[in-house]
Amino acid sequence: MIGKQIPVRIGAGDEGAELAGTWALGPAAQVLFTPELLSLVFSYAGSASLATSARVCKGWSDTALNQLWRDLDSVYPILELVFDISLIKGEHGSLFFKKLTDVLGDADWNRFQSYAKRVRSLDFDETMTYQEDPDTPGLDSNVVAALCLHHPFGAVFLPHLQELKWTTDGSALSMLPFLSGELRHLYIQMSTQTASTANEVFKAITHRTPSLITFMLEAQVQSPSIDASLARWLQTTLNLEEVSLPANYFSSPLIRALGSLPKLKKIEQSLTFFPPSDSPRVLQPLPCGTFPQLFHLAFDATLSDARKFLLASPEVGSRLVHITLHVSGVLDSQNILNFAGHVAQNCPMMTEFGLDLFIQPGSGEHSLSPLTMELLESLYPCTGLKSLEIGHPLPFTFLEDDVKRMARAWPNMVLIDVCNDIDYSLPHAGLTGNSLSILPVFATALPKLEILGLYLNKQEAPPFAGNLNPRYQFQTLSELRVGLSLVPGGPLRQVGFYIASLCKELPSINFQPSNWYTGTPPSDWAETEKAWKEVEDMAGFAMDVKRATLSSLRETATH
Amino acid sequence: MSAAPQVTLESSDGEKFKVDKEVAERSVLIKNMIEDVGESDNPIPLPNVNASVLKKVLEYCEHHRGDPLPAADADPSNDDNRKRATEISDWDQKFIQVDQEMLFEIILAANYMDIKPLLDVGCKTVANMIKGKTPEEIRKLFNIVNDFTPEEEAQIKKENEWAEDR
Repeated sequence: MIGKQIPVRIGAGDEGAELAGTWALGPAAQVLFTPELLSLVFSYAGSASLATSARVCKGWSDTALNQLWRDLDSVYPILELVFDISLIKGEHGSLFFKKLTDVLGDADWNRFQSYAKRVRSLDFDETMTYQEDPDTPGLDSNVVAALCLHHPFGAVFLPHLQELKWTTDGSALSMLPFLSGELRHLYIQMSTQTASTANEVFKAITHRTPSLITFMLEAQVQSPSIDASLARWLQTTLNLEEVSLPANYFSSPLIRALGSLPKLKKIEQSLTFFPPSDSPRVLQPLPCGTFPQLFHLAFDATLSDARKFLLASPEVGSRLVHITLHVSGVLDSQNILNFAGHVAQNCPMMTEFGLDLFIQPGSGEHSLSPLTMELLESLYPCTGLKSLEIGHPLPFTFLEDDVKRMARAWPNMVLIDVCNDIDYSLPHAGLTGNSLSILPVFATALPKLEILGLYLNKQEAPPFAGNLNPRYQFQTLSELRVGLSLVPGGPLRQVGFYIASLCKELPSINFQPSNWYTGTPPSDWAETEKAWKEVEDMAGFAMDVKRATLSSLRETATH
Repeated sequence: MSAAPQVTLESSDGEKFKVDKEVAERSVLIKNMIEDVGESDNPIPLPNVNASVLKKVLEYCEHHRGDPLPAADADPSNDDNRKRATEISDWDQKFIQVDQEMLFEIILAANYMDIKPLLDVGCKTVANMIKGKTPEEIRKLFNIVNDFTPEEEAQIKKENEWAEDR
């Protein structure tokens, strides 16, 4: 009887299939009691199935519980192992602490630890807890502090936590005992946090996150009050590779702290909208030798600040492969051109270039002129460019020859997205832009494009002559970003068929502005969106017809 | 049409299968073997897979011959890999409607031959079989002996109750 070690009765004697030399096991047992295969099965099981599976037999329990507790979206399952949540309703601090002392023994903490060690990621949104169930108390920091004092394992609740996302509108201090020395990814969202607790948080975690690789912060705290503590903490995160902070956080102490990190590769600005009065304070000129690894830079700046940064840090510029700048304010064409020319000269490795130019309402609209091909041409020295994303409130018009020249300058291009989400409140908007007939030009010149974003105007689609399989087609186009384009004139069916005929695989057709869009969308947004949806459906239908036709052609050719 | 290159596979019970190289190479094991030893007319032995299972596995490979190959070493800690989709395509679902013994044989063969998408289909199917059942029903289904005392089982149930209504 093999019951004790391997509690399975089936399948024994299957022509000598042997495991561990001794037992002949059937295929079921080989799958269900090989930890790697069982883990794979459990990775497809839901929480309820896992909780049930943990009770099936001892051989399953550990594997199921590891999977179940690996990714938590709340702190309560782990806290409720040692106390009843109803115990703390309406009670705080000392009273709770006394109760805790009365009830918790070693066995409780051992049970706590046996689960806590399984947790690898925690995504806790304290604000959701309030909203879903008013009776569930928020995570009172006094309660957490009391638990910490009791906790016999050094007040690190989750010793193997790798990834923590914490959303709070209270005190982020409650997050502290959930940090582990193994933490690799930290994402904090503080909504109405006061600067003083934010300060305490960053002071408390200084030196406590040596393994951290990525850090993202979204907060509405005014930055000057926490500059110092945030910068001091970040200086101790020597393994940090990627950081994302609100635009108004990039002060000079912070930039200096980031510049000293030996492995930092990416700086981005988090998607927090800040009051326009709190203007971005970025890109202070840097001393040499900072940012030894940086190659990806994305955040807010004025064009002249960005230019000064690149001038002052030529060694950083020479390594940068990605620049995205979000520029607001007065958009002077000459300034934009100067900046692009500067990038072309100083950043020869550039493969991804992004420039989001948006205007604050009421500022400098009168001097606004559409971007021209000159801007793109000034970037031609970056011969390795693969991705180009430019946002501007006025449409950009491609001419056939421009596209051909661009393809010669940048043969490796996979993403082009230029000015497709325009501002409909501005004069001249909608009068220029591209007609659908520019698509075959792109397909011929740049057949390897994966994403194409264009502003399309209302000009009618060229008459669709019935050829679903023209000679030049996009080989790998997966997305056509129409931004806030109008729907071309003529029957939607014709537009859909025309697009499908130019593509080997069906691309998604996306009608939506970029994250940074600040303009006035078209007044008939809903109808336009619906019409584009119909175009996409029609293109899907056309693609089915195209496939069927092609495969029947192939069959005929074989016979 | 010119003939596609072919290879011969030999099951544990000695049956030989001649298939297109492209089909056989859905198995990373076979792909690596062919790369290592070069192409030859000798049959490739698969000592862990019998003829009936190999036939079924090859049926899968034939149907999926044109699919893009999955990324070789997807990071298992990656979010996309972790929060897995449990859907199975219609064809795969029909394909995997076999008796339990064959299902587990296919999983073992897919694991041995390193055919990740087939291994996933098999494991998803087992996960679906577990879904909605009580521990006792699962034990019956797979013929597993309960080695917990009632107290132990009750304790685990209590500590994981939060997960049961999800």
